[in-house]
Amino acid sequence: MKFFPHYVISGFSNMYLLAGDDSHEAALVDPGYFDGELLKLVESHGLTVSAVLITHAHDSHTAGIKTLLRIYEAKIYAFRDKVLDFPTNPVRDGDVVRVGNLRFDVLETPGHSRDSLSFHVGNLLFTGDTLTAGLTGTAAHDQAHHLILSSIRKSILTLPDDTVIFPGHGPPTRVCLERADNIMLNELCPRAHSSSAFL
Amino acid sequence: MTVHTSCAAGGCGRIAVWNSTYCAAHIPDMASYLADLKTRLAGGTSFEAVHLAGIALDGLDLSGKEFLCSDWNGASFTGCVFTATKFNLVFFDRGRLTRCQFDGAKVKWSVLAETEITDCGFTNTDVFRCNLNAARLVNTPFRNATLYSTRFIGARMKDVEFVNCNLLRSHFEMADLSGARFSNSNTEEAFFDRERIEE
Repeated sequence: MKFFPHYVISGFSNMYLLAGDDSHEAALVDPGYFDGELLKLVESHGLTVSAVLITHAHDSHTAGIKTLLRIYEAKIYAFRDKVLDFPTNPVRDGDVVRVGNLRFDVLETPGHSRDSLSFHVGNLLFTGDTLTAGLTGTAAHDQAHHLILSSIRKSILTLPDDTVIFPGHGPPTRVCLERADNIMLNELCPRAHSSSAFL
Repeated sequence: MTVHTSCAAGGCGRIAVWNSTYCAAHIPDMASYLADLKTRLAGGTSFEAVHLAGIALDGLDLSGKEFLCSDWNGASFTGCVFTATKFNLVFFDRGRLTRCQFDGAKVKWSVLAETEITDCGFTNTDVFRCNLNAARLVNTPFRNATLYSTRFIGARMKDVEFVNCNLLRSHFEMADLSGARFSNSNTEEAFFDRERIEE
């Protein structure tokens, strides 16, 4: 598998470009911004972005779609049926997205937002803002906080220990490390506050 | 990312180390393996998928070399020199670094969570988007280092100093900082309190 993480200062967010070893078709996870550097990354590896996977429809994860779709004819996969007014292929828990010879399993992981998804391919997991290294995503209210903890326990911590997590913000981590060390998975830990996360 | 090969020993689920069909625990002749490994590392400059999980190495000079997409989980390095070495997507979690120098090294998208880092030095080092959550750092100075977007959540520090470091968007929530000293570093742009989490 070809795999390239990409960071943009706008939104301080991570994007991930993936393609199968013998494929030119690439998937782009969370295009929060589409800049020249990302275009160069795609083109220099002879890739074409044919799928966009959206972990949730917040600006820092979607704002690059408009530019991207001017360059590539890519299908958008998201929980919502529209992102930035672009129609998507809505996906739900248990669905599979195939991009070239890559298979992405879709996991619904609501809590940070109602539309939060995670995508699992091989031993890699893309969690958006649901789970980042050492932290959970922000939640707008206590119910959403409980929902995010439930999502993580049900869909993420049940994956094999060595599953590598690539979040929407911050560095990578592994399932076993989050199970052992994530300070916010403790019920007694107060939630990180946000007035706008649960959109 | 790379495909892991399972250890050839019956019933073992661990991954095979670089240039072997066995994991570190099942290599038939560790002394020969280490001798061969040192020769191979000395002879190259850029390495991808160098899996060294559980391997113990000492006295190596890996200055100026480049490591990409490698699994060093549980590995141990003693008295090694990583001056100006580049690390990208190296998973060195639950390992041990003792008396190693990282002066001028560039470490990005890498995981050193739960790693014991003792008597090491990070001068003029870029540690970008790395995960040092729950790491234990002892007698290890960071001087003129960029720790942009790196996380030390829940880390324990004894005789650790951050001198003239860039701490922009670095995280220290729940870390034991009683043995840490910060000087001439932009602590106001780091996160120390989980109530301030923005992402």
